[in-house]
Amino acid sequence: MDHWRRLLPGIGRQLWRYKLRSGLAIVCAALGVAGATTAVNYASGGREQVLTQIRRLGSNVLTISAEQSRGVADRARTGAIVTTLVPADYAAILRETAGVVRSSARVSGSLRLKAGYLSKVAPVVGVEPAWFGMKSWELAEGSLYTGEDEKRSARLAVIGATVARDLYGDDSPVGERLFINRVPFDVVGVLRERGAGLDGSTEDGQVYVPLNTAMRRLLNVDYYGAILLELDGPPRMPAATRDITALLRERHRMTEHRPDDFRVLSQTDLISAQLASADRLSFLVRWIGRSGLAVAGLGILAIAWITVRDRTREIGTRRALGATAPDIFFQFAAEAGLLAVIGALAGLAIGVVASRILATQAGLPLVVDAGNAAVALGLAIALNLTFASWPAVRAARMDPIRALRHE
Amino acid sequence: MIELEHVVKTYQREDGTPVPALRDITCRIGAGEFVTIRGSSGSGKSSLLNILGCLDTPTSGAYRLGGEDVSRYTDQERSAVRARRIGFVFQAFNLLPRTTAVENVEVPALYSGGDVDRGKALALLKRVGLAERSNHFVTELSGGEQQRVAIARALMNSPPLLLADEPTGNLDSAVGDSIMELLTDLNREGLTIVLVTHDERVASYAARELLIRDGVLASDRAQPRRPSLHAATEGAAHVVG
Ligand SMILES: Nc1ncnc2c1ncn2[C@@H]1O[C@H](COP(=O)(O)OP(=O)(O)O)[C@@H](O)[C@H]1O
Ligand SMILES: [Mg+2]
Repeated sequence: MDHWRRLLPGIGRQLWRYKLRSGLAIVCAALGVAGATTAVNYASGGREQVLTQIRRLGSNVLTISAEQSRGVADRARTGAIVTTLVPADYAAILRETAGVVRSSARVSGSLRLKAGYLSKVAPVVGVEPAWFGMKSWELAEGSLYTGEDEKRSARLAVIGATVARDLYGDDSPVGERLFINRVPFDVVGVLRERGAGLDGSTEDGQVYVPLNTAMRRLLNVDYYGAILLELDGPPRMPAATRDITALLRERHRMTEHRPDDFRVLSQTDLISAQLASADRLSFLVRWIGRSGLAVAGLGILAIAWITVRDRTREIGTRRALGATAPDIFFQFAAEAGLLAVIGALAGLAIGVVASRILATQAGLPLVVDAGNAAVALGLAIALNLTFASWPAVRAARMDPIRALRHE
Repeated sequence: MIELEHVVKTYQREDGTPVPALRDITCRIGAGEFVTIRGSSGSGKSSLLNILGCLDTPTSGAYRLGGEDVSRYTDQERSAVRARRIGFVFQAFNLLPRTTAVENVEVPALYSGGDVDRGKALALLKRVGLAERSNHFVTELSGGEQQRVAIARALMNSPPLLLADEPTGNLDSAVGDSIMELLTDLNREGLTIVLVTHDERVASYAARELLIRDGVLASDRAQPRRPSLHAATEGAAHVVG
């Protein structure tokens, strides 16, 4: 074994002098590992994002949204405005539902914002102060509007981080004037930046104003888009969902066969559905990653195989000069193994960079899954060594005389 | 040094029919001899040389090398014999491509268990007249020069026996003669040489000629050494150094 050390300089020279072949093998191994780590990191990023959303939302929130029930073919007009979720419903729900900790109704519309000379169209959302707490959303600066402001329909606004940047640049917007559809508002607070949601939309680009203000002064509506309820514990959720559904159907005078004109969703249902789909994605992606590793391994195998075939005469010569079969095995296994290891390490580096780029572009958190990277690296090296050792075994088993005669 | 007793080599065709290549070879070659094995194509010369070189084993019969019966050695043991006791020179030179002359000469040292002695490799290249070519890649060398590198390589582990299979077969006759002069000189310094050829002219360099026909030794005769006609040729001039 020890004398194999003496073969190493020659092996290094060999790899250096056959640059094209070595380069191909390295690229092959590198792409496999890069693909696998990038895919896994991407999937982990998606999962991490769902988990972040869970942490933000709390698990006790029910959302009652006004929307046409889908699944009914002749009424699948999902964009249609539903005007039936009204303040009286809200009051009834609060009255009839047990264990409500806090709640907020929500209305929204796309309106023109103007601050100084700058102007843009953005979603303006009317919510009660409790809404921020339910979303665990904190302020970066300033303060929220209060229940008192809500009652008197005060013209106060809390703005998302993106809006603040776009309209006020580096200056603090707190205390500044903001025109929404020409109605003057005072900015009282800026929300902390949150990043994109699962669907790619961002809440940072929105403006939040008191619910009543939005309904009366901006949108001129008397119905809600949604109502959020926070209950005092997860056990309440199923019963609350059932009761509210029954209550609203009765209030909206729905006959038995008409579909709901609202939807009651618990946030945990929503999140676990998203988590399940993230897990499905990550399962798929992991398999794609593994296939990449296998394909890379096959590439290494093919290159090693061709190398052994091309160097048959050399094998015969080395044998005649005293090389044992194990010496020949070591020569070829070490050559291919070295390339596989170099390639795998390069692939890991590429994978980290690619994950970073992908995460930035997809707006996902960057997760470099070190455990997974180690697994991918180990798997790639083990796989490539196995694949490379097959041709090496063939080389070692070759009959020296036949090899010498080979053209 | 070499003793062959009733050596038989029978190959097996793909379909199982036996091909007798060597029928019953018995002969001795002493240390320091220069012997050629001559015969027409297909007569069994290479088969015999492969057995002498421990690349192959006889189907039956005994082969003693330096008193040891090596005919039943394992593959591993034969590798060790080849590494330390036998030097090979091939018709097609068989140098490693994309490798320099001196790196080629060092190859046998990788397999002999000792350390690689670059100084010795350079001295051998000097011995065969290629001191200035030691760092050239083999593709930059002429055929005659490549065969000289191969001879230097065969001598790397200082084997007592050198085997050559048609060493001049790929060279034109002038260059071939210079290679034969070099081998003759090496033999004079004590190296035992067994050389296979189908060429009478080449065979005439050796003191003894074994004629092989259809796997049988047809004649074994001593012959006067060919007088050196090429004292002033390129090869001979180099060998002196
Ligand atoms: N591996 C082999 N399998 C079958 N037949 C072989 C093999 N090697 C040599 N032979 C046969 O043995 C005979 C002697 O071959 P060889 O020793 O190569 O002759 P030479 O070197 O004198 O030309 C030939 O008939 C050849 O076809
Ligand atoms: Mg032959």
